[in-house]
Amino acid sequence: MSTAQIVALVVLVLLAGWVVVAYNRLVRRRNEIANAFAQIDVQLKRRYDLIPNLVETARKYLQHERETLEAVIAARNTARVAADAARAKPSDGARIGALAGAEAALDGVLSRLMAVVERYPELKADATLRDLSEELTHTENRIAFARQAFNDAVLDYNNEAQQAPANVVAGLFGFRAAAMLQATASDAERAAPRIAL
Amino acid sequence: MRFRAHQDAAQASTRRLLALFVLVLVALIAAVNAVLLLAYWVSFPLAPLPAWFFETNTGIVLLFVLGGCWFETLRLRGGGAHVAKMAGGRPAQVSGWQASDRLERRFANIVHEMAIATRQPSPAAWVLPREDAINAFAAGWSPDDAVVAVTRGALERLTREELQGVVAHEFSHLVHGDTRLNMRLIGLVWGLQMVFTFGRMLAERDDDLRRLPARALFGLALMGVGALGWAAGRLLQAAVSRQREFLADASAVQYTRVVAGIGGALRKIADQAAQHADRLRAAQAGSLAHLMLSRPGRRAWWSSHPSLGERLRRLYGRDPGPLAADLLPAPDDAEPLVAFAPKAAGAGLATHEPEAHRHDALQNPALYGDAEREREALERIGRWHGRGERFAALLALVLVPRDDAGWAAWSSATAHLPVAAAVRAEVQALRPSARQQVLELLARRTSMAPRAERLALLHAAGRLALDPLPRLRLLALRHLLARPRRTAGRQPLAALADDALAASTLVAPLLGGRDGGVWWSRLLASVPGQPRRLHRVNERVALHAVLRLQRRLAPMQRPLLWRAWLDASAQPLNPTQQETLALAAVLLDLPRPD
Repeated sequence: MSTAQIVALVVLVLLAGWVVVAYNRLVRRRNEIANAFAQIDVQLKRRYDLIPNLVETARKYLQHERETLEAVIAARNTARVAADAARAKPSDGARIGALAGAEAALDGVLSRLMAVVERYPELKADATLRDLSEELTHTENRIAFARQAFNDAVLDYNNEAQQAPANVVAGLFGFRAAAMLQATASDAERAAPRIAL
Repeated sequence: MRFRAHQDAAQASTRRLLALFVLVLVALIAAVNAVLLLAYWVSFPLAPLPAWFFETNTGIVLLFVLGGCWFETLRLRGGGAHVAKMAGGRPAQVSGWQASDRLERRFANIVHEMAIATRQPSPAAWVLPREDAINAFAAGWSPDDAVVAVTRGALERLTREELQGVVAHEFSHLVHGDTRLNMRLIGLVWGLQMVFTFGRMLAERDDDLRRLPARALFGLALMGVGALGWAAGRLLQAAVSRQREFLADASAVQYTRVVAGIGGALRKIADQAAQHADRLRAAQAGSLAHLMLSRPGRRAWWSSHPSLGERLRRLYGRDPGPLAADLLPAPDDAEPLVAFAPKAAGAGLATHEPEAHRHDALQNPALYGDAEREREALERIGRWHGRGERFAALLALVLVPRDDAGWAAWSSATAHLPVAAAVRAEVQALRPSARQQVLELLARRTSMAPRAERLALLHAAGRLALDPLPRLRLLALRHLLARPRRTAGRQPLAALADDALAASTLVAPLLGGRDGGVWWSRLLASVPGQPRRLHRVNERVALHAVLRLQRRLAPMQRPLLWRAWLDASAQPLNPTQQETLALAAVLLDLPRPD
C-alpha cells in the first residue's frame, strides 16, 4: 500500500467513527424527547387522580355549588379520555389537539372552582383542602416543568441536528426537526385568569 | 434577564480560568526546577547534576498536587448525605408532627419539580433544622448520592416561588458538576500549599538544631515558589467558584423562568446580612461555606462567592435592595388557633364541632392515650408564633416542674399571660423525648425576637432554674437564643483541657450520678493534656469555660469532648443522662445524637 492509500484509509476510518458518534448523539437526544413527553403524560395522570379527592372535600361545604363541581368532574373525565386516546397514538396531531383542548377546558373549570373556594372561609381552612391545594400546586408545577423540560430537550435536539457538520448526518438518516409544545392551545385559554390559592 | 447569555459568559470565563490554572501548574513545575537548579549550582559549584534531577523534581511536585486532589476527594466519598449530616442536617420530614411538616413537604415537592425541570434523577431533600439564617447547599459526587439541603430559616422565610429559585440554583451546581470541580480545585490548591510546607520543613533547623546551608537554600527556594503558586491557585479557585455562582443564578432563572424566585431569596439574605443574622450555627459550617448558597462575611477577590449586590445586579439589571426576611405565616395559619383564641364559654366551638373538640387539650384529656395527646399537642405547638406562648412554654420546658410548688412558681412568672393555662396543658402532654425538640424549635423561633423579649425570658428562667438539670437547659437555651458568632475555633482539646474539665463540672452531677468519683476518673483518663487546677471551680468559672470552648475549640475536636463525657458515663444511660448529653450536644453545636 502506498502512503496515499494509508492516509486515505485513516481519514475514512476517522470519518466513519465521527458519523457513528454523531448518529448516537442524535439518537440519545431524540430518546430524551420521547422520555420528556412520557413525563408530561405521567404528570397529567397525576392531576386526574387528584381532582376527585379535591371535589369530594369541597362537596361537604359547597352544597349550593353543585354545578361547578360537576363541571370539574365532567371536564376531568373528558380530558382523561382524550389523554388515553393520545397515548395510544402520540403521532396523531388531531388527538394531541383534542387533548390540548380538553386540558384547557379543565384548567378553566379548575380556576373557577378555586375562585369559589375563596368565598368559603371554612372550606379554605379545611386541613384536607390545604394539603390538596399544595398537592395541586405541586402537580401543576410538575406539568409546567415537564413541558418546559420537553421544550429544552427539543431545543437541544434541534441544535444538535441543525448545526454543521452534524446536520449532514441528521439529513442522511432522516432526523427531522422536532416541534415544541406551545404554552397555550387557544386564545380563550390565554385569556383565562389564573387564581393562586 | 437574558439568562442564556449570562450562562454562556460564565461557562466561557470558567474555561479561561481553568486554562490559567493549568498554566499555573506548568509554571510552578518549571519554576521549581529552575530554582532548584540555581540552588544546586550555588551550593555545589562545578559538580555535575545528579541523574534524574528534573524528573524527580517534577515527580515530587505532581505527587503533592495530585495527592492533595485525591485527599480532598476522599472527603466527599461518603456522598452528599455525609456532608449534609456533617452540617447538622437530617432528611426532610414529609410526615410528622413539626409545624414545618407542611413546609418540609412543600420543599420535598419542590425538589421533585426541579428534578423534572432539569431532567435529573431526584436528589434527597435535607433540612438543617437548627439554622435560622436563609441558606442552602448541594453536595454529592454523582447524581445518585446527591443531596439538596436548605435551612429551616429558608423554609419559614421564603415563599414557594423563592424556595423554588433557591432549589433551582442548587440544582445547577449538581447539573454542572460544580461540587466536584470545586473539590478538585481545592485539592489542587492544597497540593500547591504542600510545596510551600515542604520547603519550610527543609528550611527549618534539623533535629540537631543545626542549619545546613544547602538544605536551607533549597527550602527557601521551594517556599518562595510554593507561596507564589499557592496564592495564584487560591485566587483562581475563588474566581472559578464565583463564576459558578453566577452560572447557577442564571440557570435558576432558566429552570424556573422566574427572576423574582432566586432574586427574592437573595434579597432576603441581603436583609439578614444587614442585621448580621446570616451566620450558621453548626460547628462544621465553616469548612462547608464554599458550598453554600451565600457566604456570610466580607467580600474580597479571594472570596468564593460574589457579593450579593453584584449577583442581584446581574439578575435584575440593577440592585433592587433587600427584602424584609420576616417569618411568613405558615401555610396552615389561615384560621385562628382554636386553643388560644380568647374564649367565652363554648364560643368558637359551634361552627366546627367535632374537630374543635378533638383539637382542644383542655376538653377531655382522659379520653385519649398519651401518645395521641402528645401528637395533638405537638401539632398545635408547631403553630405557635406568639410571644406569650413562646415565653410561657420555654419557661416551662426549662423548669419542667414536677409538683404543684414548681408549677406555682411558673404560674406566678407567667401570671400576666392569658395563654398560660393552655400552654401548661400542652407542655404537660409532652413526654421527655419530645420536650427537648420543642425547646429547640421554640428557642430558634425566639432567637429572632427583640432583645428585650429574650432578656426577659432568660432573666425569669435564671431566677427559677436552680437545680443542675434546669440550669443546664437554661444554658442551652441561652446558647440557642444568642446570635451565632464567628468561631475562631482552631485549638485542639489538649490546649483547652482546663476549660474542658471546668465545663465538665456542669454535667458531672447529672452524668456521674452516685458514682461521681468513678465518672471523674474515667473522664480524666480520656481527656488529653495536663489539667492544672480542678478545685475551686464554681459555676461562674464553668460558664466562662463553656463560652471559651464554644469560641475556640476546633470543630473536629468537639465530638471528642462529647464522646469523653459519654464514655465516662455508665451504660445504659438513664433518661437524665440522655437529656444531659443531648443538651451538651446543643452547647457544642454538634448534630443531635442518635
